[in-house]
Amino acid sequence: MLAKKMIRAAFAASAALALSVAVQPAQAEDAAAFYKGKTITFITPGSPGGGYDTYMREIIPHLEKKTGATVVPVNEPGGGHLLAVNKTYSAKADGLTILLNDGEASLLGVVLDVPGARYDLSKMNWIGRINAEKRLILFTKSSPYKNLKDAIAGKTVLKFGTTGKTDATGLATTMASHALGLPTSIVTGYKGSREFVRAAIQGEVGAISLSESSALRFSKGGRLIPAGTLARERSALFPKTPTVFEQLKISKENAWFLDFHEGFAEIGRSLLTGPGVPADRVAYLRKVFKEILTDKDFDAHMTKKKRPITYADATALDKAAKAVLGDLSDARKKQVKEIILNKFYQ
Amino acid sequence: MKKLEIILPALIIVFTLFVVGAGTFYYNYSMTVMRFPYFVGVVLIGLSAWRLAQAIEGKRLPGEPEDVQEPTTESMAEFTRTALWLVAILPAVWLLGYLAGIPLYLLAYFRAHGESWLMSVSLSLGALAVTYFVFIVFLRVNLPVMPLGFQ
Amino acid sequence: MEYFTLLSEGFLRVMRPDIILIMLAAIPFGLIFGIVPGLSGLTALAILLPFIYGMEALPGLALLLASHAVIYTGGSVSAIILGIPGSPPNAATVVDGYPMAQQGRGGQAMGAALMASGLGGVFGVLVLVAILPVLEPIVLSFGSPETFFLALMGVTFIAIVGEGPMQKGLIAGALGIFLALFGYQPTTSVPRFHFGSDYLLDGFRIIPLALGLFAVPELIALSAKGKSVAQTGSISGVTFGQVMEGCAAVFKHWWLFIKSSTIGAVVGIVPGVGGETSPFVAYAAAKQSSRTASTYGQGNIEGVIAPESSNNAKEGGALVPTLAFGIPGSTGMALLLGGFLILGLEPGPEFLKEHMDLGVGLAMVVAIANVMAAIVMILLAKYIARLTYLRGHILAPLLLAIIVLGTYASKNNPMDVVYVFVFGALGYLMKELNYSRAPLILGFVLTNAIESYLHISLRSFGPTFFMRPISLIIIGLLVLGLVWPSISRRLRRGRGA
Repeated sequence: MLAKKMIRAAFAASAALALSVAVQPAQAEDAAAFYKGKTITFITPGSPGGGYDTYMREIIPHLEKKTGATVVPVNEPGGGHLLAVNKTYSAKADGLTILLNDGEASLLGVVLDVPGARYDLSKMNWIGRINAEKRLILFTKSSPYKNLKDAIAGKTVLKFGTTGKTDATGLATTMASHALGLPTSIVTGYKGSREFVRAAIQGEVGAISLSESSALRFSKGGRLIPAGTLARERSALFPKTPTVFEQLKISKENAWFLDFHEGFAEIGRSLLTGPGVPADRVAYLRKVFKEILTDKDFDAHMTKKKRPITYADATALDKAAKAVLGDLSDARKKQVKEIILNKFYQ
Repeated sequence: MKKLEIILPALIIVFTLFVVGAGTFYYNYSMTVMRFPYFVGVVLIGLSAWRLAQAIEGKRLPGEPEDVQEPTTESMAEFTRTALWLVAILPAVWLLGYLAGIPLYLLAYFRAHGESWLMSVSLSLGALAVTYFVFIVFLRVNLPVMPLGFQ
Repeated sequence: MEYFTLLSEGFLRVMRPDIILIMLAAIPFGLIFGIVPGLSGLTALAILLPFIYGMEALPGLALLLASHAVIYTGGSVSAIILGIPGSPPNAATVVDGYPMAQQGRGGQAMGAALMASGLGGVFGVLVLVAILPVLEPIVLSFGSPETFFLALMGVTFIAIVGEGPMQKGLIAGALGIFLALFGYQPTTSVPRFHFGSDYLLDGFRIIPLALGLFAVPELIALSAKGKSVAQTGSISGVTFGQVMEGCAAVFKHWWLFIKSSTIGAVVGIVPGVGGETSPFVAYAAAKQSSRTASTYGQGNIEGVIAPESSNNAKEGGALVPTLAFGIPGSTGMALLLGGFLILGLEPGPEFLKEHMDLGVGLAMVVAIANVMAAIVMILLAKYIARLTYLRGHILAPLLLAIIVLGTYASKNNPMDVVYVFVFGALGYLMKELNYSRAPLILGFVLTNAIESYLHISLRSFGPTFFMRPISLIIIGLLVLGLVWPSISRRLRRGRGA
């Protein structure tokens, strides 16, 4: 009796396996065939002419060529870059809506329970990362301090300029200031990083945090001094600037905040589709975007445009997102919220 | 215009109180967030209340016309008809999409206001051409062309 | 001498067949976007941006700049003949321009507006080129405190801008400021008063506000009576002679022109204030110092010259922080910045050291575009004025359709279209009850700057943030602006005695 059952089970299992193997390529073909002639909506939270928009428009011709679909670009900068996520989240689950996401904003939306965040990142499908950048802290010639060690030991308030409480600049500044024990007071409300660069040069603020490419651009001429990289490894654009870990002895507890921040930065500008999209279409999109984003010519072209590609696949993104959101107990979340929203604004 | 003069300052006062009240009691915004709304709200309510009091008294401001007629039932009906005709473009483009909604709205408007069939149809077709060639093709605007907001 | 060398070099740089052709295409595009209410300058730029991929730097930027520089030139025409501003900054021109049209002086109004626009644009460029070598120190001398005081000065002008009783103007201005408080608070990122609406997270928007306030009441008037604008007023045929008369008026009021253009250029140079405020500030300054101030709002040609010269001058000024620091001096410049980046250029502190010639070339594009646009429009003015002969029942729905299409096209957001009507209801009430609408717009555009920069100034410098040379000068000008009318009255009485 048992033997008969086992034989039947084995037969069923091998039949299923054979079927799945047989069906698999056909499904992959289905996904490719599905996209031919369709219209893909490509959403970005950036405004026309900005970084997100540029990446999107550079990718579109390649995407159209590979899929045979027409790609319609949509700019949706509203809601602090969160409306674009909402739109993607609630779109039809057919794989025809792709989001070029602001990783920091979308994750912060979840961590801080920002009004207007109506999505569940864990249900969305990562496709691949276009670009992620490390962040640096920079001082100016008129700063009260010349390096991080002095700043930590000092009593004079260090004024940091940021663009907002709940964006990448606010996150980097608050996490770094807390982890390193900087005497920070944040001046926020500047409209764009160029404005607080201007403010830094004028002496309105003494320190700022910038992405590595922006830091490279603005530190030309020597008016901004890179003080440290907020990452475990040095920035390729600033090989001579040590990381904060290299410069200082950071406790495990404080290092948690720096790693937490780096997790956000790891996500960077990445691609997502909404929940419920058939697995084969997600797989197809991952394959297509991997081809586009790892193509050497495209990489060279984008580097020339000063919009480099630092591709990472969906698995890495999933891991990074889980590292940020998964590691967050209620107590930790409350603590993080307090640091990001209140601590340095007294 | 005594009655109408009361409307705007009264509306402003109600609106401002509602918004500031919502911010204070419903959203419980912090003082940093509400500082400006409180300040501006006080100024706005103060000015509007002053104006309201004057309007109730029937006081005329310097530079305002003397004999202003009160709106009649006829003029109110006329205004309502005009306003409704203008607002009707909204359901037209929502129900029919922009590509069909705009020409059909115009056609209905022109005919209802006494224009000839020739004029009405020509202008509507012209509008269709402009909507399609200028906005959709040349300017590449993602106009919703499907009815009822479908994609 | 070096100044003139720079100018002539820049001029020669631009005199290339491909650039001239691009400008000839861009200028009508910009003019149309300016004239047609609903189609905004920002939409024009956003639409042109994808076209410049792959172009060379100067031709690509020339396409963007030439079309943008002439938007307000076109916008003045609809402000005058329809009472509907072609774009928000032209709202100040409606105040005196439209009454002029209704009094049968539309030709003069248009001539004055167009000449003021053209020359104002050139003035802005001349200022820009003059300070190009010292651009950076100039931008760097304006910090957050200075920006705050400039914005505050703008607010004090609310009481002066606009026709009708001052008390009602103040209510309008305060209402405009209050409406601007909806949406993300700049320093806490808390979305104020969004009432669960995604749209209101970012607050109310200027285009639906300006269009609703100004266009909807005019459309109601047009379609209620069914008659044409010309019949509701008394435009009795615009002649070329009248237009030229208007052009000449700008030279007659040369001091007003210079003052207004300077205001425009300065407001453009200081990025935080926002270019939209310059025409209102220029209008208010003109009214404050005019001997015929009592006729402002009833068809005084000065009330047309002042905002229009400053409107175009500000674009030359707005290029200053854009080129020097990559900080956009106006909303149009923000998109232009995108154009720079698409073309692989990086405006900023080091940019002009390597690309001074490009900077001057761009300045020349703006100047030439302004002149060409003014000439084209002056020649076409009387034909465009014929629009006012169209029956109200035809013009109103057609305009409405364009406004709806254009508003949707600006951000692809159907809620923008709905809010045109919401603000339209407010605009209708305000118009009927003699509340000036221009102060509302002015209050609306200034609020964000005031709130942000006050906060930043206090946090960076403490309560004594005003103790800085340029801030004190601006405060002085502010006070002077407020007390000038009574001083000049006393002086005149003294002279008369």
